[in-house]
This record gives sequence, structure tokens and C-alpha cells, in this order.
Amino acid sequence: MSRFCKLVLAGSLATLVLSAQFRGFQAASVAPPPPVAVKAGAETRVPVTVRVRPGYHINSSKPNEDYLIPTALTWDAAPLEVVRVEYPEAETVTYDFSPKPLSVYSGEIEIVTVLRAPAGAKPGETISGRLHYQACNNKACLAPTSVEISVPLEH
Amino acid sequence: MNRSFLSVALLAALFTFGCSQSSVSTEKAEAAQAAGKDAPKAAPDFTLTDADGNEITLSKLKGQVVLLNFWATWCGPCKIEMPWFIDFQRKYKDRGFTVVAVSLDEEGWDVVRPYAEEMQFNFPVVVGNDELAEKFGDMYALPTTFVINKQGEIVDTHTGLVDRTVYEEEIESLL
Repeated sequence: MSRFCKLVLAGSLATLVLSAQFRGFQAASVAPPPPVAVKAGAETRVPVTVRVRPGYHINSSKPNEDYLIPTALTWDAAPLEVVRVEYPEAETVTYDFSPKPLSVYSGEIEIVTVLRAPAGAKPGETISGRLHYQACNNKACLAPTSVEISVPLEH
Repeated sequence: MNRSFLSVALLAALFTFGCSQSSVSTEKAEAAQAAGKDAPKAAPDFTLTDADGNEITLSKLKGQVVLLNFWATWCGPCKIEMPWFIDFQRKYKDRGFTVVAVSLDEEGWDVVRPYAEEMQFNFPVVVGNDELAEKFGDMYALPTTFVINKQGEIVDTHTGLVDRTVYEEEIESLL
């Protein structure tokens, strides 16, 4: 095989594996949350750890430009009541594409959800939710995407 | 295993086989290699409608140099380029050039129309989808811009914000 062929083959594979789909590349991951102990009627704090790939950022929960898509952690209604979602403090960063500093998260962040268990909550159940975010680096942006999250409940 | 991965594997296998059989290459491929670029390939065709319902068919633009830009309203870097593209359209339109901007906003015209009205685009703007993006391949982020020659071939692809002068030099060289 000629050197040219090898180079093109290697390049094509690397490119295609990375970019096979417009919405296939994930700039952030969510660490699987550990089981959460809940007590009927009491509030419980559920931390969700989000890791953003080096070089990328995701918009904060309150981006300071109307066109930007905020990071949002949402939960299905049952079986627990969501009291509130606490987002971390955002960084304010200026990028090549934005003369105005943007409100973003990068690196590892923790989003805490405060849940309240109703009297009838059963062990073995899980609470399901999703993190919706949109990531960019200094030059380009990835499509908005969601990561499904599932947290087992313990009593 | 998804369809894309299978396609990648198949392409790789076909390419490996093809390369092992012969070292035949076209003059274009060699020239492109010398320039550090992929060989020109035919741009996938599409027909989409603009905000006024006019059909835009890429293959009907053969004979013009086309800057085919994929963008979205949520993409900050894309918005930096838009005023450049408006300038390019004004400057080069009469020499056989056009920009075509394809939005990949999932919300479609609901979000694209207000921005288009604000920007007063002087080139065709259409709304595409993931299927179209996959036809073009090599697209994992926005903006992605394909530089298409008068023969309807993609001669260069830019992912992300690049210097305005890069586009200008490419357009000038193709006109």
C-alpha cells in the first residue's frame, strides 16, 4: 500500500470515527450518580457530576446571550418531588467568537438536585432525568444534546 | 453498532482493498495531495426552500463558485462569519459567486426567520436537517463551510471559525 493510501486511510478513519454523525460527538459526560438514600417526607440532595472535555465549554444555566442554549437538568415527575436544582457558579470567559464575555461551565462541575420523597416512595425505584446542554470550543459549536440520567433510590 | 460505524468500516475496507490493488491516482488527487488537501469530490445535491418558498437546488448552481455554509442560530462562531458572507455576496456575486447558508436549527424557520430578517441576508438561506448533514459527511461541528468550484466539486472544507482572508483567497482563486 502506498504511503499516500496509508495516510488517507488513517486520516479518513480518524475523521469519520470522530465525525460520523453531526450529533454523535459528545463534549460532556455525566458520571453515573450513586444510589441515593431517601426518607419519606425529608429532603435529599442528589449531586450530578458533569465532566466537560478539555478545550470545550457548555453554556451555563443562565447564559448572557438570548441565542445561547442553557444547560438544564430536568427530572421526570415520579417518584420524587423536585424541590429545586442548584447549578454551580459559572465562569465568565471571552472567546474568539464573542466580543462579549459568556457565562459558561468547563472542566468538572456538580449540579445538585434537592428532592423530597413522598410517604409512599419505595426502595428499588429509580428517578430519571436528563441533562440538556450545548457545547462549543473557541472556534466551533456542537449540536445541542441530552444525556439520560438514572438514580437508584435507597431507604 | 450503528449504521455510520458500519459505513466507516466498509469505506475503510474498500479503500484498503483499492489501495492494495494499484497505485492509480488522478492528476487532481495528486495535485490536491501536493496542496495538502483532499481531492475534489462532487458535492451532494439537495433541494430546499428558502423563507419565501423558493426552491434552492445546489446542482443548479453549477457554473458558480459556491460557499455552502452550515450554521445554526445557537452557534456563536457562525454569527461572526455571517457579516463576512454578506460582504462576499455583495463583492463577488456579479463574478459568478454565491453563498448558500443551510441552518441546522431543529426549530426551523421559527428561529431562523427572525435572525434572517435581522441580518437582511443577501444570499439564499435554507433550513436543512441531520440527514443532509450526513450526506456531506465530515461534519461534527458548526460552522462547517464547503467551498465548491464551478464544476460543483467540493475543493475545501472548513470546520469552525477560520480567518476571513482564507475564504477570500479561495473565492478569488476559483473565480
